[in-house]
Amino acid sequence: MDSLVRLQFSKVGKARFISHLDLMSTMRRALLRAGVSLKYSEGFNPHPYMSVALPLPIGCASVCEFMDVRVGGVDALAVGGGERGAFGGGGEVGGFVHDASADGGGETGAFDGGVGGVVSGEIGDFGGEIDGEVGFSCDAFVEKINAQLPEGIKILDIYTPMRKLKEISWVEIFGILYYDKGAPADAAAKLAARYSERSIIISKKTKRSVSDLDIAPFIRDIEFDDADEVTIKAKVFVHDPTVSTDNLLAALSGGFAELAPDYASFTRLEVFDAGMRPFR
Amino acid sequence: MEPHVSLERILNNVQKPARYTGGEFGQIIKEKCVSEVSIAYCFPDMYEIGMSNLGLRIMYGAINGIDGVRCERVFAPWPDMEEQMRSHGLPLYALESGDPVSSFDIIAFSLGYELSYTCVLNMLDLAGVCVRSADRGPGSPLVIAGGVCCFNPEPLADFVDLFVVGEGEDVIREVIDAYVATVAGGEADARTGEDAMVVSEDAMVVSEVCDADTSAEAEEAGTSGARTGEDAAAEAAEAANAKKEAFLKTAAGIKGVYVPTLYDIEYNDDGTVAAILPHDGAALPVVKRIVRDLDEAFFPVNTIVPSTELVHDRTVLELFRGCARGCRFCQAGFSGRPVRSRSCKKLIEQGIESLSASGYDELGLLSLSSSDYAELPELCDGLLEWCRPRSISLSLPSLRADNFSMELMEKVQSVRKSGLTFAPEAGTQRLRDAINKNVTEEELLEACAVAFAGGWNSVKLYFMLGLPTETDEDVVAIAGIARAVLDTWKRHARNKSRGARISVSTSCFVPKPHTPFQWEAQIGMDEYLRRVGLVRDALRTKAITYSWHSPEQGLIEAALSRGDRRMGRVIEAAWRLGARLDAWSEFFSVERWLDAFKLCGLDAGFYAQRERSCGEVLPWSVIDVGVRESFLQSERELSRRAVASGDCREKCVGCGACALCK
Ligand code: SF4
Ligand code: SF4
Repeated sequence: MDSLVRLQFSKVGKARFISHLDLMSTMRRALLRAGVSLKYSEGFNPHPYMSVALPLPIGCASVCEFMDVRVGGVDALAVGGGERGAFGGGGEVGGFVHDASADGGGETGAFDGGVGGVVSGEIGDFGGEIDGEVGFSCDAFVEKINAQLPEGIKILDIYTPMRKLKEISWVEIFGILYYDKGAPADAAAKLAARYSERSIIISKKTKRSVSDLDIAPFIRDIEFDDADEVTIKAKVFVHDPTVSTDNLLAALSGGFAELAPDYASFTRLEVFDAGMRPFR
Repeated sequence: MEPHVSLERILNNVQKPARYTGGEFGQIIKEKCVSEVSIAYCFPDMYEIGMSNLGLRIMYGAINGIDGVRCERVFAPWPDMEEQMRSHGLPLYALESGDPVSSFDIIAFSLGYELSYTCVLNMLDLAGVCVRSADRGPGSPLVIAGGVCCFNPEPLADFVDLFVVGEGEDVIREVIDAYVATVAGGEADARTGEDAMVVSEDAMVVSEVCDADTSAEAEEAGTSGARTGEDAAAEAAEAANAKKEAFLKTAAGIKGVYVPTLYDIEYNDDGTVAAILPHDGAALPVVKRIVRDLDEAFFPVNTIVPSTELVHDRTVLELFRGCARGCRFCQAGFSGRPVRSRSCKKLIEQGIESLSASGYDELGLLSLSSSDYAELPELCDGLLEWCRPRSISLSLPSLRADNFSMELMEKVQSVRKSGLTFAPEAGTQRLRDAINKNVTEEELLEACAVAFAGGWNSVKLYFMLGLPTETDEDVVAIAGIARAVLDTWKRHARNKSRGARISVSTSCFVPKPHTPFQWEAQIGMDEYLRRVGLVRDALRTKAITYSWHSPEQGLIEAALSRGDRRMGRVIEAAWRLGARLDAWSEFFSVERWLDAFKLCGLDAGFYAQRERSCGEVLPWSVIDVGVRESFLQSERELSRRAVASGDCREKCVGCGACALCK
């Protein structure tokens, strides 16, 4: 009765410094504490099936992360403290045993079919399929897991995935650029000019070599602002080639060095498929 | 607290930044209030080591369980982080609130290893707090320490205001009560957080900063320039000092508390201690404290689950404290006496509760000699009933060959099989009898046979070189045991296709205070290496790997363990010469330490390699761990005659420690 579920979560504040590998064990333990039983691989060293889309670099925040987990159900003993409590009884929903009456007197939101408010409408294509019995999003359950997570990690939604994580092609990022000696004059305009060039050649390191890459075709909807702080917002391609935030800033070398920040702090805002529709 | 930009930026430049952020699941955040007592609980090593330490978790939970007391964690930074902190002027901060350590009322160090002493000094310095107690002004936090190193507190006597001797969970309450009664209240106004936040880029400059500290503070308090203002500031400083002194005198009345300033030490011309002279009513000796009933004692079932990998990612249970075996080299064994156990029922409860609360998939059954726990089979069965269906495995930190069984092995490694480790410690029966390690070669080989037949192929064997009375014959016999284990594998292994992995490891014996060997000399580094050579030559077979610890850390550990108060100068000198994380061999330099000794006109050999005479006043005799010195003497005599004295669970050998329970 195991099934695959997708967690959408944010990773901000102190949690930005949790590495990808540590995130996996942190999530695993949080799910176990919340009473979710995980499906383990067979063999000498069993491990749960978990995968994260596009691991975030350490230090980068995100409000739009995804992790797929194979779950075997909810440990009613653990969750309900001995009785078949919060998740005991009721019908089986996407692998979870769920009883709305037990976890909050059937309040609205305890079980709202569909992917819910976050992206409703935009992904109407398949909204119908994940409605009702198959897909689900369970607020009480989200809350239960959130109570087990470290500061800065928060589950935003849980549902049965209908698309593969590798369909993610574009990522929208937001960054604050810091200049120790004060921002250059007209920073936003100058940056916008640099990034609107036809071709933006950077040198990109791969595992074995360093090669030149034109990142211009892989950046979209780039915007800058310098009202309070110098900020950048853009969609970058993440599928081969992947344009990292470092790659993006690598454009500010040579004649543009004056625009290169001393430090930049990035947040991932949204992810998109190849058709630029938000991915869920 | 959200990391503010500068910390965020620093964290982007260091390795494993998650160890510096806090925010883990289970951390205790207490509301700050005016009347609170705040304690920065400092562990003088890295986060990964400290968070694996059960003592830290117990004390953190126990202290935070006290109303009006806020306890936060502080760990040592790795050198890359230290460099960033010093260059950006970021003072050492506590993980929960991010507040600078200098803003806490009390800084408490947990001391588990002598080689962390320089780290204690470095952490104080990074906090902007003067390392020497005498230099700390009225606004400075109180510096206290606990942990097993406090059974000889003398080497740190210059730096620590107050030591808690023995198990700390009860004593700390009494210390805090005394603090509230004598210091808290006025203290809050005297402390000027900002002054204390000055962190020098270079540790060497700090003493100057510190020397000027008191006057600078007084000056600042009197910015009005008026003569009366200065007087008032001086008066306030004096009042704060008086309060601190009053507190220390009151605290010295608490059982298990040692206040070094209340003792004068006199030395003989030959450098040995002539007399320990208490004043102001201080106790001599200070008797260690213990918790009598472990079932009643606090245990942290709800504990922090770090978001970054530790040395041991697991939940632990503490089966008992103390050890009845009486191995003559073992300080933990003697200083932890008498044995006090938790009940099986309580342990099963605590195990299930803490596993549910942590989400770990391993439960470590921790104690000095866990397989000696009387109800071990019942305990394992009770726990496994809950653990098995959840893929949680049990582990024992060490095994003893003399009570080893397949049944137990299967229980404690039911899910994941890892290697077996045995510590025969010495190569011949004669020497094992001399050190009272009651295990025979037959027992060891039998245990290995059982394990090999059960499918294990790897065994690690630990030995010490340089034990008192050791001869070359004893040394060479180590290789003999290893070969016998290999033969046993050849005869009993179920599956020989993967080959046997047998490894032998030796370390240099460090004589420790409060053991029958406290009077003994450590062997020199060259002699140790000669003996290593003997083992290596005798072990020429590919199937057995041999590794040995370098004797350098052992030498300094030996000098520090049995050091007197003058050792404080050496520790400070070594730290000023750059010693930091000495417990990490990559940062340890024996030359630096030897230079430090030279600078102070002292000799490491005097402390490490000198045999003490029977009547010598031992610096640590200011502490009484409950085991009579006459008993240690008689054990030493027995050792010389290679007579074992057995396990005191079977027959009390009259060490005296049980009197602590009365
Ligand atoms: S068995 Fe021996 S070495 Fe182990 S803790 Fe007990 S006394 Fe120490
Ligand atoms: S007094 Fe006897 S029983 Fe108690 S710890 Fe000492 S030797 Fe063991």
